[in-house]
Amino acid sequence: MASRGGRVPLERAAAPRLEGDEICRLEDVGYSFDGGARWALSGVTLALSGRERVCVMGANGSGKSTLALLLAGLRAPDAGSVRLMGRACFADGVPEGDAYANARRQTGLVFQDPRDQIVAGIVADDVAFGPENLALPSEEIVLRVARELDRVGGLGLAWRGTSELSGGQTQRVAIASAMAMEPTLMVFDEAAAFLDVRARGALRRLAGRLQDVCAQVWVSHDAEDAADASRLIVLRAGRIAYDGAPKALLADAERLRELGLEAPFWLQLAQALREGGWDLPPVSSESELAAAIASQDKRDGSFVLRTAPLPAEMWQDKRDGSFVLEKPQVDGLPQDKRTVPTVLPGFEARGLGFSYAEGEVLGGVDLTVRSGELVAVVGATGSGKTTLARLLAGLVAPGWGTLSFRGVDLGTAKGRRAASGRIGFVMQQPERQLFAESVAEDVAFGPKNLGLPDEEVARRVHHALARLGVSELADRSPFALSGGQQRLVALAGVAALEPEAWVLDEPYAGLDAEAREAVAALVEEQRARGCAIVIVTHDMDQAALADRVLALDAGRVALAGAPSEVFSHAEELKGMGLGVPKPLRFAHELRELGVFIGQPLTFRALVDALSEVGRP
Amino acid sequence: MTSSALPAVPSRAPLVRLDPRTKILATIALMVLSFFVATPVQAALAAALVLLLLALGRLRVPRFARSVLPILIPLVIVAALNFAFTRTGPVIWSWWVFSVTQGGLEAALTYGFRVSLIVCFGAILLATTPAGELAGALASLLGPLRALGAPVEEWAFVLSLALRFVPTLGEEFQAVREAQASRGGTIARGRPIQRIRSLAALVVPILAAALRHAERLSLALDSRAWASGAPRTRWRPPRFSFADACALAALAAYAALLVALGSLP
Repeated sequence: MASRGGRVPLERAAAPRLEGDEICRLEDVGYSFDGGARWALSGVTLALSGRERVCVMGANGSGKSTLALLLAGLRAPDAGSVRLMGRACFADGVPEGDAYANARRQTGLVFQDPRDQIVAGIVADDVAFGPENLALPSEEIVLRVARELDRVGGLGLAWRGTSELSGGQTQRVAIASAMAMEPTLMVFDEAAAFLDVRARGALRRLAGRLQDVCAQVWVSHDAEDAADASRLIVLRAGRIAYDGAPKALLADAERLRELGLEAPFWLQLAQALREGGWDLPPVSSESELAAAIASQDKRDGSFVLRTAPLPAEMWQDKRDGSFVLEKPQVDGLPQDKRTVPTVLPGFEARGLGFSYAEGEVLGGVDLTVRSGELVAVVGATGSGKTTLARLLAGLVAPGWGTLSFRGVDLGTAKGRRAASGRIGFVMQQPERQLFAESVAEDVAFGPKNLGLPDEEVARRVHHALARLGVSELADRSPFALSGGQQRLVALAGVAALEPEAWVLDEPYAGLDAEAREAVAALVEEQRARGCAIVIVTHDMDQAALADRVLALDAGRVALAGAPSEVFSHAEELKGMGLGVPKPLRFAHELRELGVFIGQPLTFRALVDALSEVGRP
Repeated sequence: MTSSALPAVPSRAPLVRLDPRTKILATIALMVLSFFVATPVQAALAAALVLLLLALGRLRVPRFARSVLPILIPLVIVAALNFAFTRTGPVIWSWWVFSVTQGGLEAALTYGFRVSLIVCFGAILLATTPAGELAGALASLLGPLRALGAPVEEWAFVLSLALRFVPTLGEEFQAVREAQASRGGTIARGRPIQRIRSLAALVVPILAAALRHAERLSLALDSRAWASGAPRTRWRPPRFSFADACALAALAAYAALLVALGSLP
């Protein structure tokens, strides 16, 4: 068949049968973004077979996204050889266009930000786009559109506009669109990184349903994602550092640390308990650990677990100050027990609301954040939390209600201008705001705008970079950094304002453990300095560290109070599409097994509660 | 998995259901006809048609007004300049060097009304036609150019992608503008050097975002086997229906009535 531009024939039936079920083979593959000066990948050798579910892990900048693109046939390497879907795609430095086109046709790809891969204005049209490109007859396309939307639970979305979908819905549509090509391999590049708990859960269940349909490669830096995979590949600085069963690695905390990965929650807990004298068998999942703990008293007479439920009033653990259930104050928020460094006011919102042309997005929000206080705002996608952040940062005028910051009325344009520079605002993915030629210049942007003298600007830039641990990047271009480094530089740009308060919108999303620690250290330091801090997050473990938690649901405050108070409403939170911190989730699991340890919210509290309960 | 069926297309406004090709041709005709509007009676007829179309498109008037006002206001200001520069007929009102003549007033009203009509017809087309359909219809209408070797489908596809990414880049722009404003960077105030730096702080991230989106989009197109010039099918080709014939007949009636009203003494 003579076709234009060296294209291969389009009939799927003509696709070559795969030898021995092998779909991808990389041999000694290297990839460089800059012609060989630095290698994003080097010496990578691996083979995938047709029914595998592989998880690829690694720190930010380890080359895992590049590996995903190579496996999907969307990038050719600079060295080595690549065989995809039974055909040689790259050998001796020469890419084979037809073989690559064939591989791409049989591979589906889903990115971190699904909006970038939606091409049509209507959901059904987007799912049909791939099959249309395969020149399939329209009856066949109709069948595929219905089948794939059904598979992702999105039949009801078929005729909706693609721009009006939530993040989770868009991600499901992107998956349906890729599946409509009937791929042999699906590649998910950090597809869950920006989703809320409910959407994440839906995505994991979907991965299970795809098990018998096609091979899957999941790029992630969350160890909990790896547990369900059939195979785990870990990249470190562009090389394969581990390739094998997830179970073996996920039970080895030391090896994980060597590989730059964060140990999963259950492994950290098991290790802490063993150090505390517990005799636990090797475990490879949260439920195994819970079962091992619950069976302790049967195996060893010296360990007797309290097996009767605590009386209702004792259910709130009193040993740790953070567990104390507080009485609501007049404003609906409980008085915090922590000593506040200063009594300076911070944010004051009463009956705060906001609406767009499409309708109300936020209403009736009462919130007080004093200096030195950290308040976490949680809520599912579309609950209004980003709007609340923009209001608090003085970026938009409140629709109604009152809002002030340290006595400055943010309801007036004059007040918002007066507060500018005093409230540090960190938007979602703040690395998007980088613009200057060097990191130092970018960080200097804020202080210069404040009209500070040069030596003060230089001092602030120096301090901000040092505080985020990125001083050595000062002369680099912000565009040449890894995603994690860019985030820290963007935060330094806000820290250089030396603000009196911070409003951070999902500052931890998409970061690896190391970068997350750097951000958490900055937040803690700023709180100690007396800043009022508001963090919008979908990470309940981070929310548990706050002084107070505000849960938004459909633009209204659904729950507000100390973390212990808010997270005691697990069922209501679930109804809003939110979860609870991992330690609390684990305590709930133990409760099912007849072990009652109260409601620990932090890792430390959980370990303490268990060690107390485990004594005779 | 075999039994799943697509839900029926939800009932859409009559204007949304029309073949997009009909809508494009009718809109062009209505825009041209707007230049024939000269008398108050004709203006009333045209205004009635706009209201009818809004009703047939199930468009909410306040929201529609909000979408066209940003375009209309500068045009109306230009129209008002006719007051100052057209000096025919008796003077109605004068102040200092300005004077409003009857001719000037008429010219301003006529010009302003015609431009408003044209903007409204265009806005109704855009509000009742999804970007993808619009692009497909343009490709179909420009079909004859294909014989001359013009890549009509590609043009239409690129147009639909551009329309699709307008809101995405709009969101990026708003987010970056706010983030830089919170760092004191605004082009609205400050010394010139500061404003230039603030402009760069706005333009560079938007360009970077556009490139980032474009790069990922090209990966997405590759991974879904899109290739320029390759044969592809359309799963829902536009269909010319009875409703379209009715719409065109109504258009002809409107044209005839408008012209007839214009020839009245």
